[in-house]
Amino acid sequence: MNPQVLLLFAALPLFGAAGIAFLKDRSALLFKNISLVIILALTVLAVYLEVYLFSSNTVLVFAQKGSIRIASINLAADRLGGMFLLAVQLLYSAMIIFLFRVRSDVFFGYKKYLLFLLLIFAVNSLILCADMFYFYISLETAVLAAYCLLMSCSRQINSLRVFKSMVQTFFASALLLLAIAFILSYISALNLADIFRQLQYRFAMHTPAGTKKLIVDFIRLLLGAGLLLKFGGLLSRSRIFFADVEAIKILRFLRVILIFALTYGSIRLFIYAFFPAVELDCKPLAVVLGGVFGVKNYVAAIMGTVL
Amino acid sequence: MVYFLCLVLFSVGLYGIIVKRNAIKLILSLLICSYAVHLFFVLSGYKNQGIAPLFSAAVNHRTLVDPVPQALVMVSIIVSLAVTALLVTACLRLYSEYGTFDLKEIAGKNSRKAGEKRRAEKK
Repeated sequence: MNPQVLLLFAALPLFGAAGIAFLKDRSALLFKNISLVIILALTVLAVYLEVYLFSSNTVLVFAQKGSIRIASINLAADRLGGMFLLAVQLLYSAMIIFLFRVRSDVFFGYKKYLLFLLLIFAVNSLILCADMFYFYISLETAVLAAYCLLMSCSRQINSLRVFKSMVQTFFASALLLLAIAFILSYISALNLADIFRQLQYRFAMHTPAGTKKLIVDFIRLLLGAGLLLKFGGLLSRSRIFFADVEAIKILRFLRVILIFALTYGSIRLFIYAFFPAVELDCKPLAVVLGGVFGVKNYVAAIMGTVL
Repeated sequence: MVYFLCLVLFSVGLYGIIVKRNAIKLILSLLICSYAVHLFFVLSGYKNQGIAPLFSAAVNHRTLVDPVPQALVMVSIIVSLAVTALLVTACLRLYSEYGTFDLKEIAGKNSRKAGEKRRAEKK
């Protein structure tokens, strides 16, 4: 793909929209409409890129062929990842149109717009990430953006519950980081595929290994507790502490995307469990969930998210 | 021994999160927890009598410290800075709304407010 096309359709609309929204935050409707058109153009481009990614894989679900180069960063996803990204992007477009229709007077403040973009970026990278630390950073970015967005959107807000939920969520981050530190010191790798291979190798070498098994279980426990606390803190009490319509919509949107990411992980887990010979090229969430996190904790995380 | 001290530091933070009811103290406890985790992370790349990881033919590679945890901790510290800023903002919002940092007192005021609302709706 020609990089100039990307520059024309991605970078310019992005900065243009941000600039217009920044300069004309709450003024004429014309500028809001321009912002909307640019945002939609950007979304259409993203959808196009993802369709390209999706259709360029012709072999199998797991084969990595679709690779797009944007600003010297290689984005690589397989067909499954492309499909999920596409779904996220479509949801995002629907959300933008809905919010503009319902609350066009307040939503397109530049801060909220940029925060929303940040949120989408983080959630997309959550699906694309192939590294435990990237996973942590994108999760953290998504949570930070979501809290900022919700706090700036909602007027009738129960500050105490929000504060408690934030403390819970950020304590969960500490647990996740601790788990990552353990993984790094024990396995000496953070790439998900490497972790997966190392664990497989170690379990094959030391079959009923007492201490090694214990460390892996401890890491699983930390990751499970961290993810449960994080999703629970962010999503479970949303209806109670946000009375504003748009805030609830944003939160529901986030919830759907996170469930998407987890479903994606579960499909990967299924592939890993039943087709172990197949090479996983994309190495997304599932290897975390499958190799390190464990099936039980995964089910618990789903339950926590849904409840 | 140093790893044990990390655990102690983490436990101190955890104790604060569970026991303390002052919003500022809660944030401080959370920070202590994250400091302990950062310390543990950095120590995972530590080597006794290790040297900076600058590769050359003359250097014994076994004595080089692992630079990966240090780089990761730098990023993590920046993230925790953003988190702290957001938490302090929420804390200030609490104070401006209720005039106190005590979470018990705030919860009491909240329930009183809700009761008054319900009574007003009944009337």
